[in-house]
Amino acid sequence: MNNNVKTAIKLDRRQFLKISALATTSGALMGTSENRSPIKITNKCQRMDQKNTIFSRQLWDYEFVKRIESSIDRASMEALEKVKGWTPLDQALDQAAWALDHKFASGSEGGQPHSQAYEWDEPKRRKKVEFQNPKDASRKIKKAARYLGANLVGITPYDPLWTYSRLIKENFESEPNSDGKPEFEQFVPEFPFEPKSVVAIAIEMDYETMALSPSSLEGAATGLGYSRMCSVGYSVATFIRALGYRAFANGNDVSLSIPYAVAAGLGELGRHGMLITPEYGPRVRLVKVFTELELKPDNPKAFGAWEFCKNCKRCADACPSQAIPTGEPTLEGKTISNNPGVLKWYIDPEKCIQFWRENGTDCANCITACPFNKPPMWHHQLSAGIVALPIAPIHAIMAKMDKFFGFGDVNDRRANAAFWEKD
Amino acid sequence: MSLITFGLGAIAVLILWGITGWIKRNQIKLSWPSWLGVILTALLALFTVAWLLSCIIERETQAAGMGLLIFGALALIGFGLTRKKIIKDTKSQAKGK
Repeated sequence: MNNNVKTAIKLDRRQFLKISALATTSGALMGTSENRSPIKITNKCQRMDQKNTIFSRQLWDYEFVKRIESSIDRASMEALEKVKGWTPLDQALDQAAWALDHKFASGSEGGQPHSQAYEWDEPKRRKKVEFQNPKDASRKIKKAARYLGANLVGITPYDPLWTYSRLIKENFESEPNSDGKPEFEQFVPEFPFEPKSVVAIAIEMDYETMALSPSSLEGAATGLGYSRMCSVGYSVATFIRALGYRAFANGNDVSLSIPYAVAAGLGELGRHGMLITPEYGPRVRLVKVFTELELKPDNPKAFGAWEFCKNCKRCADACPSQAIPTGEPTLEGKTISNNPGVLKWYIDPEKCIQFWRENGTDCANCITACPFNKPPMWHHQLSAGIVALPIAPIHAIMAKMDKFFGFGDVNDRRANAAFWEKD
Repeated sequence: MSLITFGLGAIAVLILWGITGWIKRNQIKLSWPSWLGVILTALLALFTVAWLLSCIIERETQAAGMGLLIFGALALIGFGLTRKKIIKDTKSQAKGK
């Protein structure tokens, strides 16, 4: 002990700086080589069976389906058509916004794999276009992705942990069985190639329409996000295939999206279980492109969102079904639709989906209420700079101020009524 | 947005022009705390105007109102304190003469 103290005292300033620099560099290298994600992932985290995801459970978990269906009041659903935000005009916009997704990626939003735009085995150019190195290839793929409509794009290595261990697919061609229940098949995903890299893409959803949550008009913002997902994802995959490398896009099917987006440096994981980006907050949809092309990965980035979420509970307060926890992050959730082993806030997807059914459309209150969900204006960027400071009392004050100033209001009937009046 | 930036620039120039003109006309010599007060108050006033306009563009009326109330009040307090300090400075200068 004494010897150690003496050695430390003998170090001059130059030696100390050298050692510090070495330690920092090796620490950084160790951090990037083992676990690229800043999220704590334990051994308990296993590949998830897609059958257990909340959307897929509606194919086989009849008890769950019965439970959520029983809470629907048909009379109030019909009366909903007279409410601003749910009128036939609003619903028509919702339907139109979803149209491209329904036409070219039918069912993918619910997890249906292998749909048209997300097909795995499309033809590629025979001769490969060579790049100087993976960094050069990454730069060009990102440039093309942005050109093709991606709002944010990042790259990370493929990690099989985030691909579903088994996929589930509804068999639309066969008749429902005698109980009127849908036919489905389950299979282990076997891609036509070994993916090496993942291009994670974020698509911004419209700020003003998203702020009308929960209504059909907000559903239109979500639907447009999904339609753009399949268009941009398919285009980026086509670009890579046209360079001679195999690639395919996937949305809610095949794999989890948020772990890839976090690892690719698009943002951080939030209390509401969604990705929070510095640019758009959680107001994004995610699509990934798996490819055999070797690309230089981006580093995950922390901008203070995780720390802020510890002290801000605006999403939890705004959630109509109390599906978002208000406590500390944990290593497991309450339902089979939560994949355990990751330190995070586990939402209750059963409560969430039940409210969707009662609401007659989806809900994005947690996205709307999130203080990071702001348009790109100077005063919001200034607030984001303050939020990035790792000081807990500031986070609590900023969350309160955000509410006090009227940002992130949900259930705004007047705004829904005014939607068609504004140019 | 560029219109706001132009407008804010114009307001900043007008404020500076007004203050320097007033100081010259009255032959006042400001102490450094007074100058600091003038600059901070002017910045706060500009911030309030910029906040107000940005929130109006964003159609966030509550945020505009709250900003006016909080930042505007702070600017008014700053104005009051600075004015008091300047009056004190001019009085002490008059006594010195």
